[in-house]
Amino acid sequence: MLYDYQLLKLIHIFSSTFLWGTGVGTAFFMVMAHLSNNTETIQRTTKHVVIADWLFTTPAFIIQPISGYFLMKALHYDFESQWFLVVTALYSIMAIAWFPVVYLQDQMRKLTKNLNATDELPARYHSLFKRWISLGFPAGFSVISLFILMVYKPWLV
Amino acid sequence: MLDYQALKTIHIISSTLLFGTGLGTFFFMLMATRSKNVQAIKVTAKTVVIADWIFTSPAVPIQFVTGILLMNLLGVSYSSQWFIAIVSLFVFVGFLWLPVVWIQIQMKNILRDLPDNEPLPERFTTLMRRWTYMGYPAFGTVLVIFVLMVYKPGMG
Repeated sequence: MLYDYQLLKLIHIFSSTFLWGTGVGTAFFMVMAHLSNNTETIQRTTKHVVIADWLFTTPAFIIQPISGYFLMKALHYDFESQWFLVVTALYSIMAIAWFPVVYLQDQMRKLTKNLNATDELPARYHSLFKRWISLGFPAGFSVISLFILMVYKPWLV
Repeated sequence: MLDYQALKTIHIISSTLLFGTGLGTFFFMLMATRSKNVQAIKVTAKTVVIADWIFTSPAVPIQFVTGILLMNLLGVSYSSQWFIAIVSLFVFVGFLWLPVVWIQIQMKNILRDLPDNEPLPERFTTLMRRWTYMGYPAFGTVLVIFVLMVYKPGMG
């Protein structure tokens, strides 16, 4: 059961969809809310982005390395292979980018929570958003590279 | 011509975008409606339509084309049980999606004519409820397609 290859693969692929796909979806709604420059919309959207991260991204972020570990065991892949080292490095880059993202979006939520509809967005919001979006690029690049490494599986020996 | 690995990568990444952003879109529309804030609902509904064009619309033909090319490369029969099941499920999701597009247009029209300081009309809530009812079976069906893609039963 623990080493059922197909089941593990299904969980691994499905949680990658939640991590990457809903991640892109969340980022898109956040960017569009930001571009609308509408305080009430940004207020609600930042709140929902924080919820979406807890609901979709966080469980997937934990499930990925666990199902990955058991898949490696099931397939007898070497934990010292170049492939595994590169995969771990890319996942770490993604994680290092993601942790501040979680913090930044929560700051944006708190900062906009008590604003009135006619209030201007504070300067700090704009600086938080700039940092938030900048971190998305290394994370996105890492995940695309991970997908390619998962399919091609080079440097396994 | 693209090889098996390249096609598989494209097939998987576009499936994650189709399903993942679809789920994300569903979530943000649902949450915006629940907030009852007309401004937020207006911006979100517009974003939903754009997300459909950017993510969903390209992903559907890409899924189809890379899927056919992968089948040809692997020599999987078009009359296999596996393929018939996949196509049936794909068509079923398509039939759920068509009324969703129609409902979205109706909702867009209501929002266009609605002033910002007025509450949402009853009709909008009804449409939104129908919209979510289409989402749940679509979600379940895509889940089954993922299962069939990994387990690949009935291919002979």
